[in-house]
Amino acid sequence: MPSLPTELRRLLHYHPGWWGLLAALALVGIGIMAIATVAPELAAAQGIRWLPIALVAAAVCFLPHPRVLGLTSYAIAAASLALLLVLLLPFMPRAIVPVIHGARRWIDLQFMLAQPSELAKVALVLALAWYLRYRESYRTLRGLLVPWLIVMVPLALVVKQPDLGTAMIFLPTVGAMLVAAGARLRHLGALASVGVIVIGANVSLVYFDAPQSMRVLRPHQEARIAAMLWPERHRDRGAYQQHVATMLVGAGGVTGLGEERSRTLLRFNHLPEAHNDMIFAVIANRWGLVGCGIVIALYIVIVLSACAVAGRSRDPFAKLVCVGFAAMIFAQAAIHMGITVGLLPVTGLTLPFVSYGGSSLVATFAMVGLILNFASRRPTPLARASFEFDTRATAEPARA
Amino acid sequence: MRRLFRRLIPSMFHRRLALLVIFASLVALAVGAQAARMSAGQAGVHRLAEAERALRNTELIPTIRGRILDRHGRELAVDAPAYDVAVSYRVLSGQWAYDRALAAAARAHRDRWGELSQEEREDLIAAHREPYEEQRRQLWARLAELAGVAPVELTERADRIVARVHREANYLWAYWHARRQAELDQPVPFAETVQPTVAQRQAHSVLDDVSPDVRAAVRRHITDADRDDELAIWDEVELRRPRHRRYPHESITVTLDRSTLPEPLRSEEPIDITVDGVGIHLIGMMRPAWREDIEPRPLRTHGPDRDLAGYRDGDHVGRTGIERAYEQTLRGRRGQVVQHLDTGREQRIEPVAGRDVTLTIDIQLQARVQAILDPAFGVMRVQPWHDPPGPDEDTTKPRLGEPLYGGAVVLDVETGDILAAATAPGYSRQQHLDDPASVWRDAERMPHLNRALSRPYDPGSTLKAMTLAAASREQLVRLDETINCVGHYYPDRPNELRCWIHSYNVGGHGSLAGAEALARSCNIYFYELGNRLGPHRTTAWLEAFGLGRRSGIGLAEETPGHVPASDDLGRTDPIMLAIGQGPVSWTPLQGATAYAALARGGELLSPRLALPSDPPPSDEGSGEGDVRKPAHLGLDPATLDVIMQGLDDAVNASIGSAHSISLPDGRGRQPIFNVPGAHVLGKSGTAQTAPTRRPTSDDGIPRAGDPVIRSGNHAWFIGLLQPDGEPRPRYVVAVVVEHGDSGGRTAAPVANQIMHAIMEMRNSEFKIQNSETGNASSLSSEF
Repeated sequence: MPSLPTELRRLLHYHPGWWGLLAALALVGIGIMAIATVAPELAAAQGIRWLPIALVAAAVCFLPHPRVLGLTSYAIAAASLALLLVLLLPFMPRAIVPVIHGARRWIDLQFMLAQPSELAKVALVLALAWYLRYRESYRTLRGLLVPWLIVMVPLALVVKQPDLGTAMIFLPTVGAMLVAAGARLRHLGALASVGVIVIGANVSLVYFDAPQSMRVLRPHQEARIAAMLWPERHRDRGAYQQHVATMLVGAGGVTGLGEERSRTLLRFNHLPEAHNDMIFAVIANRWGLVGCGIVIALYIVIVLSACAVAGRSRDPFAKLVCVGFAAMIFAQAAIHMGITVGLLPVTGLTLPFVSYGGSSLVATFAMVGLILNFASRRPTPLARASFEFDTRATAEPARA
Repeated sequence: MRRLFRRLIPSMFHRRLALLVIFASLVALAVGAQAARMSAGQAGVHRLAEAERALRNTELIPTIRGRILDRHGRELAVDAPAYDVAVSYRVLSGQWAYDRALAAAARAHRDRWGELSQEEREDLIAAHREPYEEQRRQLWARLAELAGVAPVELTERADRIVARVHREANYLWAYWHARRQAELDQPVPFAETVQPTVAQRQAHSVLDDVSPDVRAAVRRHITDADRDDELAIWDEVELRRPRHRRYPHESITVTLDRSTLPEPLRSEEPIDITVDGVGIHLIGMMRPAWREDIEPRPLRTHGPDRDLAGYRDGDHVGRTGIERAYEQTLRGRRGQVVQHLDTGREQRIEPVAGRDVTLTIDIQLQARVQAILDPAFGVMRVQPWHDPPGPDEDTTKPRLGEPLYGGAVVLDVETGDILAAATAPGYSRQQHLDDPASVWRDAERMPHLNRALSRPYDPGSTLKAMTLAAASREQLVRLDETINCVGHYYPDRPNELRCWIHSYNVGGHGSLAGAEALARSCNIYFYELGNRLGPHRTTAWLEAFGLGRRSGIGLAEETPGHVPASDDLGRTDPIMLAIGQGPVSWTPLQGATAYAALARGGELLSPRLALPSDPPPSDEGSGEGDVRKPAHLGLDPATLDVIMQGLDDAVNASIGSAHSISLPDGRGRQPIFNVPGAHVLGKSGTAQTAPTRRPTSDDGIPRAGDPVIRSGNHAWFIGLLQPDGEPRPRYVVAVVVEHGDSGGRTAAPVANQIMHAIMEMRNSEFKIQNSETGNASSLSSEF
């Protein structure tokens, strides 16, 4: 058994995973400056309190062998499901599960409000990757049922909180993992088009002002869709947040307004949740299109880095986990940015690495730590190719 | 493509990774593109401007609407600030108590509220309603106590407000609905257009002009409302300081001498008549601004197209009369204080008060003329000397004792000033507030109509003076030339183109020259003149006398009347036009203007209703500043002498058509005019006209076949009044009485009373002037 320092020395060598860490740290830096624009005291907390905790979490995740992680992944998933259930239990005292803005998302740990859904995000990816790693059942339509169930259980629990935003990123994550694992694109395409039809039907119910009896969405959800369809008409009702957000994004122009001017404008325009759910509007306002471009580019760097790690790895579990984390981070970022620029209806969702918030930062850095963990491992000598379903040479032994 | 992809990246997993990365890049591109669309170029500039608006706190400073004054500077319309106690419409309508009860019921049963049916909920709401109804009762009781009135009076006031707002809302919703359907060109459910109106969102004054003590008490209650839930209703009460448009001379009581009236109305007892709505048709009314007013010129507080004179919800605009015609002059412009929240700087734009408009009318004379037109006085009610139809006659002509409708204008010959313009029946502001439909929708009496200038009438014989002037100027008739009247125009056709005298079975007038023809109002003489004039000269002269166009006083309500195009006229049309029948119409105002031109020696001057202001306003639409140019008609003095002789004889010679009246049995023959200290000239007119019908179609336009309300000739008299000492007639009085039958018998006695009023006014004014020892204003000396 090599000592820890030796082990560390063995792990710390150059690989594309480090680029992801650098990009993540850059995003945290930008985030702290952006938070400082609207809430200086929170920026300090983010830098002094949450960032170190998140880095510790990353370091912890860096250490265990992937195999250990894989073997415990079902247990972690079960634990996270249990925590999600705890949130929804009717007799939980408010001291432990506070209700904030009508939602039960948090467990009060006295020193912080932890969001079990953040843990569930990590656990879902681990469990799904562990499940998919040597199978090929998901190459059939019926075989997609189990992965579907694995994602639907936590998704349903999160929707119930309610936290539609977090639930929304589960689906693209699973989709990306299935794509990477080699599920048939036409199956996934068919499932995706069912989703598109359902969404399209709901949007058109709002668009064509269908009778009440046909409506399934809640009034506030319809209001948000209507706000996105007709921003001018809904400026004053329901869509205030998105209106202000798009206005501030546009006001930033190409190069941004700079710290002082941006701070004044943000202060007097009262953008709700500016430090977390709307942080991208702050970035666009302060640094303009240039800032937006840099932030988007940093997320692409994270995606590329994770994909490169996945591509180099010989461990199918590690491959899928990397893809899952990259998809999850990117989907959340894209949805968050899409909301602030008026492409998607409003729902509460943080911008990974950038928004203020302990749980979110810890969870995303845990993902980074895990990716680095996989990247640093030497390939197992006897590992066989995985997910290569169309290569004749490997087709036979791929059956597990 | 796919094969190339496979060859390029042999591993399927790597290909799938590439696919995911490409997809992510596309998504990133979309987000970036949308961000660029928001911020690049003009879009970004606009959004920045919008965002910066939040840095400013803008407050508007109200302006004062200009006053409307009469020619002596008496205030006819003023903006007066006052403190009102206003209560929100929610409380007035009872919605407040319901909403409160709903909230309380939902709170009390919050665990099962979601599962309850609507009926069960309503029951629970009703059960929780009482405390809030009690608050309402307490509110009325307290307000009534403060104001010193009975609580029931306040609740009635509230009910009236609710009824009025609801009525307005119904009109508005119907209008919005029709407009929406027209926009979409398809049926729209009515419920879709039903949104709360401005009035339903506002508070409404229940106590006007309250004292400082009441103000303090109300203010205390409003502060307490925050602390005590049982006083929460006071949160819905506000003290406000609106500017009320007040009309101080809305109601005037005048004493009229009845000793100069014809028998049997004559009496030595004067009569007091209270006139409500004095000059209301001229002064006009205000109304809340509609979308149609706001959209073309919205209030803009920022940006390059800032317009503080624009309109917004809750503003008022002139609805009728001068208030509407001089809206831009009267309105004024708001001021503005802009506080820059980030720098603490303050920018201030001072408001500009609206400008006063001084009218040419004398409000006391106006009140007198309106009182004379009041049926209570008598001359605008069918009298025995009018020769009314008997009780057995089957006719729609007005019967004995029925009120008559009509209009009258008093014009100053020197200046063209309209000294009074009255109409009967009229209405008052209170009546309009209580029951607007009785003003706007009474198809029979049409009180909203200003019969002095808004309704065209066949001129009848009053136009004969114009015909004589035209024919003489065109040298188509010599002044001493006689034309023989045998009772009908064509010698061989006695049933066509008759003279009015034909029906009295006395044959004809015999040979007549101009002055006598005018005095006797012989049709045949003027038929011949019309025949000689022909279509082109006829219409040209009608236009020269101001017919067929608006006089230029600026009122939107004024009608231009009608002059036909000469090309449309047949051979006999000019013959009919010469006696004021056929396709021609004018208003009393136009008649007075034309006669004033004769009195002025053939100089046509447009009348005016507002005196030029000093300095003239720069904005358009007011038409102020005396830019009127007199038009010379080129009449020679001999012609004018003959016409004046004719008008003189018509009134003062026993052959004259407006000389005297008698009762139906021939008794009690008496002169019509008895104005002391003045000489009266004039011309009567009895204009054949179509009956007035009650419209049956939705558009409110009566058509042939609709039931007849009234029939009979319109009665006209246009007189010139020459007070002793004046070198020429000084005033024109034009009177029309709808279906009054004979001009001499019906309209002339009204004109006589108006002339008495003018003389009385003139005497009292001269007294004022003398007492002021030459300090008289130029205005009163002009009178």
